[in-house]
Amino acid sequence: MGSLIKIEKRNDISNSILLFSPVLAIILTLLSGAIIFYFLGFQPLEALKIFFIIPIADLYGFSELLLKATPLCIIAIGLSFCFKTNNWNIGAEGQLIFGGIVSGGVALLFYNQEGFFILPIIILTGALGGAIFALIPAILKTYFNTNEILTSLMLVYVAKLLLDYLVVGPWTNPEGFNFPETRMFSDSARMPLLFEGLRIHAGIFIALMLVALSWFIFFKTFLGFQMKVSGLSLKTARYAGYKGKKTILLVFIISGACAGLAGVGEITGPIGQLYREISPEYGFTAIIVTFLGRLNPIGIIFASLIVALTYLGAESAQIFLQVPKSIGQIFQGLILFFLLASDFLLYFKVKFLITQKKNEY
Amino acid sequence: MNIDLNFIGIIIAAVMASSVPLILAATGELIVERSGVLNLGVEGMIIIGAISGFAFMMSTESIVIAIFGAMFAGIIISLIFGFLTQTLLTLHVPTGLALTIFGIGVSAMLGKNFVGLPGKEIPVFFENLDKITFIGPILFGHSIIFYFAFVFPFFVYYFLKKTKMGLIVRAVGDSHHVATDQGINVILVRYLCIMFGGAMSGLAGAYLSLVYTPQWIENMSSGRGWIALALVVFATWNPLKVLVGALLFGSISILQLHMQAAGVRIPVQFLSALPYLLTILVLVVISRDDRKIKLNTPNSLGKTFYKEN
Amino acid sequence: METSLKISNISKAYPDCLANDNINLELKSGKIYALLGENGAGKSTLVKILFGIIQPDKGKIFLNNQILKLNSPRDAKKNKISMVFQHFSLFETLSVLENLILDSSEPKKSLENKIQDIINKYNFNIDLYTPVLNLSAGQKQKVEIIRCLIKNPDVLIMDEPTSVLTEQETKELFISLKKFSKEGILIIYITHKLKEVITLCDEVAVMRKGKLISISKVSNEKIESLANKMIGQNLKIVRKKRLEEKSNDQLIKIVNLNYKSANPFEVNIKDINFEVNRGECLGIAGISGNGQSELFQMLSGEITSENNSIVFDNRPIGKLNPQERRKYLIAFSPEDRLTHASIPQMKIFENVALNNFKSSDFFKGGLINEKKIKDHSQRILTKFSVNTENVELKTQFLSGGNLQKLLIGRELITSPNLLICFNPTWGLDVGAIHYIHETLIKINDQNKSIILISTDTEELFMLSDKICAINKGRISKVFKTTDVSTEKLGLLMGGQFD
Repeated sequence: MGSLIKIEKRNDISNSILLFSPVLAIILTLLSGAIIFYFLGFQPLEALKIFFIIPIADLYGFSELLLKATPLCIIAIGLSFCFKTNNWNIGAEGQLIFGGIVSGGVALLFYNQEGFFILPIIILTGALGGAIFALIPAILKTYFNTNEILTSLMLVYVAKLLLDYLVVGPWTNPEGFNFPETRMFSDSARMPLLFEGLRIHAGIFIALMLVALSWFIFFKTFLGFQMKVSGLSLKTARYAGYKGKKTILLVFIISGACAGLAGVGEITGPIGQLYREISPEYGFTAIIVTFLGRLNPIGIIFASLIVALTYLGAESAQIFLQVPKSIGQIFQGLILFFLLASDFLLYFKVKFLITQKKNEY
Repeated sequence: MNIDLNFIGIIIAAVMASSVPLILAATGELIVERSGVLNLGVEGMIIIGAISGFAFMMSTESIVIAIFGAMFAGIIISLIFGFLTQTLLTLHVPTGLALTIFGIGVSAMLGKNFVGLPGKEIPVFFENLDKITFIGPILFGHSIIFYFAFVFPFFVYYFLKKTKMGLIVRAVGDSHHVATDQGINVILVRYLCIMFGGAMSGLAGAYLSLVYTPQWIENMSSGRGWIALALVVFATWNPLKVLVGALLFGSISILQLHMQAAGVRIPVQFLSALPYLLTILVLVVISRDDRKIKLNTPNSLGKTFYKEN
Repeated sequence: METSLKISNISKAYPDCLANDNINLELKSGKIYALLGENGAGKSTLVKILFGIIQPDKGKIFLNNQILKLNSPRDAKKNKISMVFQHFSLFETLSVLENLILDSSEPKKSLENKIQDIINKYNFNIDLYTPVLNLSAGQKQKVEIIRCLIKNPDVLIMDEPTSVLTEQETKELFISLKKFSKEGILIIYITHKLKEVITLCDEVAVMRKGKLISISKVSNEKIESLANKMIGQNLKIVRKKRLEEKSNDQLIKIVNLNYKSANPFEVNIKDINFEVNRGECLGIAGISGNGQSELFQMLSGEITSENNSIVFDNRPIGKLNPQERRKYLIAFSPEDRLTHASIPQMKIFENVALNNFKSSDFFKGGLINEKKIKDHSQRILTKFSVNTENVELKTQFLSGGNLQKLLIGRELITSPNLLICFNPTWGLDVGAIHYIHETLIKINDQNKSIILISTDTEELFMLSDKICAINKGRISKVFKTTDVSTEKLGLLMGGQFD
């Protein structure tokens, strides 16, 4: 007797399933979220409402969602360049911090000055800082054959410690009573706010610009075509004559610069200075955003909004349900698990053979 | 010159103690990778082991239950990874990352009520003998996990080299297609290896929260899982070299702690960054020999295996 | 004891073809049976059924008049049926002994003795403790055979065993097989090589398009009669008009080409020298795995070398990458169509864009010019009679023959001065092979050159003006094809260069 469920490889991936699997992943995440809340002793629907609806029920909440989605979106756009070409840069968090350090340093230079030129310089140096930090694992990978997963990750710890050193040491605010933080940046070094009373700032335009730019690169340029080929088969890319090492360096530079920009957005936006925790692990969470968005710029917009909601939801749950904020990370892990699992449907057909068997008799 | 032998002994013991979680997690992951699976979730499994071990210890006051509980928790969470990568054929890299994020979240959630509680006394062996100069602190007065960690790599070495089961693990890592042709149940072997890796990471976590620290602190594994992954590459998939590598990292960690304590005029943060920088350096040095890495890397490492019917 | 194997009314259908159509065969021990047929004739399906890998839709198998139920290779092994696959089923990084231990439940010591006995009995020269990856193809095959012999098989199935062997190794294999046959093992020998049937086998069963065409005594057959049965029609044989006078117009010159690979699974290239003139086809023969792949990649620029080691049209190009070499109108057709020359998940026109030759304008100013690429692709499809008009079709849906026509067309539509191809007809059906051969001959007629790296000696003799052989990364002297016999070429392929 054969098994009743037969699994077959699909020849072709249909577009509808490509869209369907993230939706399925979100539904499954909500379901398991309900179960988790139930076991924590809450009324599941009520808890889900507190987690997913309450935080964005008013204008302020929604603006906070956009505020949190902005860095996630920017980083994820950069990471999509890496992941499309099978470069596993998982150190975006470190690149964000380093970009923040470099641009923060520049902002501190101008702490008592005003001028229209200050912010552009800060933004550029931030991108540059992130790019340089990402170049380290890229160079180690291309010229020293070193696994980029491990090196990029180790550098996250290094960046965190460096920031820690700076804010308690040389860059600490001289009038700050030894708090581990720098001076506040001058107004010219801050991202313009979009609305009075809301924290949402001009960084969102950087995100949208990057979305458009990356879409154009992926689908309309030779560079995008080369990346597609390299991602599908390195051997074929070499045969076509595409320069493998250059591509690796380039995608790392792009993703590092993006992470750096996200860092700039944080310190010149809502924060306005440097301190120890300038990022609630946006760099890691953005990895989930990248996958959930299917490495597609438009998909990444939606994915960043959904994942940003887990941050707000966790805060809301902390306030109203007294559960630790880490519930957010649980949801983030679950989303990625379920997304990867749903991809099974992308590549395989599940056939139920019961009816077929009957026909044989 | 007056060299205090006993002090050196104590330092060596400290080095060994700090390498214990690395040995356990790296050797466990080594078996996983030898079977062709790349589980990047070591960090997540360690932290789950740490909170589970601590929670079991606090609630049952039994070290045996705490240790086995931590290993069991490691197995359970590794099974998520196993189910996804082996049954649902997901990519190993993102699945492992998800496991780490998930593990850190879950551990913080479970550990909410344990933060700040002092750990319980853990039984140690040959306590009275640790007064012996030099070798006393090195050899005696340690927990069962400590002793286990230092014989464990030898067992794994023997297992891989000399037993048929070990041969099967290596065969599966060499080529899952050939293994299937030979009638080996590749997926079953890999499930077992993944569970084994989970148990060992769990044990590494238990050591951190029960013996080494001993209390529960959020994120207390602080990158040890990643260093363990690097150690496997460093050791070119040889368990005995894992032992050497782990001791090397242990020395750096202890060295920097002592330098901090001694008030060396280097900022603390730079010293704390040393183990991570050393990891990068070691990886670069070892990876430069492309040929050696290629010869030792399990051929099917990280590749998704789909069995055609 | 005598073994008899009876195949009765076996049928097996796949969605797109009937692989075995009511096959009936009776085989007895003491004889070597040839199962002859082209690629896709259904012979692999039949032996896979015999070995329990595939289950037939209909029909029965009897071993010694007992009905045989084969649900897996394990069942086959239990009934003392063994098989040596065309592609080795060995663990490369494990030692020979470890490979053999894995397949056996005997204790290590007695197994080791048994293996040693087999090695002595048949004069196999194999070190049990060396990793398999250090063995030659012939030695690997011997390991496979030992693995079968350990089980004292009654039936031994050999699937195209000589495709990776040198002439010398083939002779050794035949001697061993004849010994096994005398000892009472029933041998089923699968091949598409007619000469082997004549020299080795006692009886021959010919298959074509899933049907058993005939079974007869080999002594009653000739190569021509078998060929007609196998192909089913009298294909007009392509003949090449060989250049009467040797042209002296040198096009490409290889000077001391060397490559030391960091990858232990690759072959090093050592001091290769040759030259090719305009309008010539140089054939490079060799058993697969002797450095052909590495040599191809060096000629294409995927592996770069000393700039002066490759001189094309008097210009050094050793340092150039494939893209830059294409500018000199050199075209490349790799062996592996699915993972090297194309990407199956991409559309036809995207795969065409991989050859971004000089005047293509596919990517003007860094932007994709989709219309241009599609028009160009359309021309290839028409000119090279690819069986589709849809340039948006993913190439995974093309048959092997059509894919190769597309890929060869992609390279040839630019009328290159030199085409470097590696096993261009590997795995194709007769019609497609015929088409490719005619196309290659046409190129030479237009005074363009070809470097043909191939493991198929018949193809080489048919197409090349000059011929040499590659062995362990070294290349033999280059001969005029008319001056070389098959035997001589066999020796060259085996590394006996002088």
